[in-house]
Amino acid sequence: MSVNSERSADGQELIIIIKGRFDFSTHQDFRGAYENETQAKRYTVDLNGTTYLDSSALGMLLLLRDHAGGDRAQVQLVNCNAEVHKILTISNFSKLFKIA
Amino acid sequence: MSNNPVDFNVLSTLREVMEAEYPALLKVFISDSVNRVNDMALLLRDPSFTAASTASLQRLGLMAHSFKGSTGNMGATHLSELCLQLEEQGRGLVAADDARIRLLVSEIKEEFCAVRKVFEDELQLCHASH
Amino acid sequence: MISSASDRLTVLIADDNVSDRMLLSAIVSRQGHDVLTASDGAEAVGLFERRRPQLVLMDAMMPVMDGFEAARQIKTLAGDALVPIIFLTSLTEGEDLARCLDAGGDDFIAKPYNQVVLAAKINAMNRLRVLQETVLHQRDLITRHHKYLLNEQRVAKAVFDQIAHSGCLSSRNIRYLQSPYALFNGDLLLAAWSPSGNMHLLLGDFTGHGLPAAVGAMPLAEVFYGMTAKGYGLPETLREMNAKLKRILPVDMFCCAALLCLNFKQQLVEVWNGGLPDGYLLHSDGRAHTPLISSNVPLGVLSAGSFDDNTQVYPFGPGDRVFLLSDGVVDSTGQDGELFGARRLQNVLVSNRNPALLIEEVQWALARFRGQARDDVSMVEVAFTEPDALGPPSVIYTDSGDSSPLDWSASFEYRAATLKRFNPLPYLLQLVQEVHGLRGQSSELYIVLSELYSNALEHGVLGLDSALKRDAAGFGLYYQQRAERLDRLEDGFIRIDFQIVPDGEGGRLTVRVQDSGAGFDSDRVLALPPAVTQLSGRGLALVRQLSDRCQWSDDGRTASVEFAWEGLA
Repeated sequence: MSVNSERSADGQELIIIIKGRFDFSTHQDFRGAYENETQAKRYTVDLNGTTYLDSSALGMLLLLRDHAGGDRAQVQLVNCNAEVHKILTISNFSKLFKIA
Repeated sequence: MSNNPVDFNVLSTLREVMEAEYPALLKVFISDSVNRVNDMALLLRDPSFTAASTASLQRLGLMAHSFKGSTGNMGATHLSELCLQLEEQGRGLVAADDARIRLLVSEIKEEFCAVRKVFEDELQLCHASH
Repeated sequence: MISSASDRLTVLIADDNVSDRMLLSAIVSRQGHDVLTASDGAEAVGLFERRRPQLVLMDAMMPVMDGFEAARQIKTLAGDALVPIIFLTSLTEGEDLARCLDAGGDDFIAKPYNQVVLAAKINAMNRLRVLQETVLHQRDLITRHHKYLLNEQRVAKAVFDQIAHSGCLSSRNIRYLQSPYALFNGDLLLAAWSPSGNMHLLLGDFTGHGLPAAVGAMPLAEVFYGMTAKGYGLPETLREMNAKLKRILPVDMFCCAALLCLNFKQQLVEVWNGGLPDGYLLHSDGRAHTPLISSNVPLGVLSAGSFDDNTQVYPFGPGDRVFLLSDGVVDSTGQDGELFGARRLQNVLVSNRNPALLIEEVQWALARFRGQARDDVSMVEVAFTEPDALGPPSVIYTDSGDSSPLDWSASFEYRAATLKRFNPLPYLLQLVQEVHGLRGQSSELYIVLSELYSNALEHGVLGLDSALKRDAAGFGLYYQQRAERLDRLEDGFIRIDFQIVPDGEGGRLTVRVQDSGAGFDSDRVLALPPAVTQLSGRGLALVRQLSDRCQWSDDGRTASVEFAWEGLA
């Protein structure tokens, strides 16, 4: 499990990259990745290396969405594998996040 | 290894550790040891004592073991060494030999006299310095 | 209390040799410790019992009781606490040293004593002692906390069970499996009768585990039972549950849930699924199972404005069952990390022959798959049953009835904007229940009111044709049209008049329901034989059956029903 973040060239977007299992043990690291972020207008969570996602991870995504402005937030989840996509679909998170 | 009955390095350590209690330690050692040496001699004079009796030997061995410890702590190196030899006889670590045992006990008695002389001189010195 | 490693220790010295004892006492005192001395083993044990020193320096060979025996007794007395025993010995033989260890000795120091070595050994042993003390302290703390926690859980569970079991989970048509501590896995199963004899059932799964997962259960259950008992339908109940959870739960907590309304009289099941794995509508006649897919965001995430309370309605007749499950079932992991998954579950559903064994068969399949039980597996199966076989328990009222109003009338008119979202039935039912004489028939009254209201809305205001509902496909279309037309509704009204008049010792209620629709040829519709109306038409028959008198105006726009009661004993 690892959480890394990087900024887009124009500085407007924060990209959070999660590898391995995305579950409660990731809590601190995930929060740390965006908590002090004040400049970003958009957020992308890259789940390319994410093998599994549990309900506490869904909760963490909601926290990020809240941080990014709630209903006005621009948060997209990218590179989901089939398993992760299924979990996001059951919870209908496509109504809350842009899933690419 | 010096021929002194008592290792003076040990004595100076004892002096440092015991501070004011140093003379008391010397006195306690002397009186305790007098009893131990007498007890050994008494045991040998007992008509029932024989090198063939395991019980008698064991008693003598324990006496020697205990005396070995205290003499060692007091720096009476040679005396402690004699006690070890007697302990080995008593505990059956070597073939017990009645003559050898009696010789060792008399050597212990003799060596203790020498050690005692050193400690009594020490006591004199202590008194003088006070 | 935990003493730090630098603390002053109480050290017991046991040596029969007076000069050795003196010397050792002096050395240990100089190191800053308090010293107790004993000249044989028995004395040492006695001193240990009385003074509880933290560390013991023990000569092996002593009269009365030797050091080995004394060490054994002291270790026994010390129990779990580590009281290090350092043997003082001029023993050199391996066998003798082994005896020291066997007796519980922790270390040795040889005569003649070396001060530095002795100090180092005492410190090292004390570090071990403090470590052990810390471990024991933490163990006791954990044990204590664990006991508190278990007790708190027991109490919380007892309180919660009172609430959860106040519903109708014990009905004969419900079978379920839940861990006794499901509450602390965030799993929740509730069932209750509505006043009209519909059964509402909720399976929920809160995020997380333990107390955080359990805290949301109570308010959710409260809303579920409260609103079901008052006659609210699924959409209103869902909106209220969502709003309540949204308000009280932290952002990252929510509740995946499926909510059912089983209407046995009209043979319908209404379903809402937000975040639970696919449930299934199972048929006994060989038709393929209908998956009940999650098409909503879980409860407690969306604001009231964006929450979607749309439900799906399916025919639900004899032999039909609904099966719901928590993600603990499909997400169970096998030994190789593979998930049990929906396909394995479907295989069990398809091969099931005896409906009574379905839940057991799923359990067996899970057990075969992974060999060890997960504690967050919840399943529930609710079967169709003839309405008469169950029936809601009658409500018990605690007031006396002296203040019952007996001569009044009231009129309500609900217009388009209200009809879109508001369900007036719970309020109206409450109103007529103020009349004590009607309470005995509150269920009938509610059913008749609901029927007349939904007829007025669906056939009158929205102009829907009940003939659509003659087969399953038309059934779906009917409810789709209902949602669309309601959404576009701009004009129209439903008027409801109540009139209560006393009659001897009893009284009579007349309800008139009028709508703005085109009306219908009441004589023709009411003359149709029931067989023609398979999936529809139960409504009017029910109304006729349950009320004392009912009639329609010639234009079919106004229905009028009567309920009478005798004097109260």
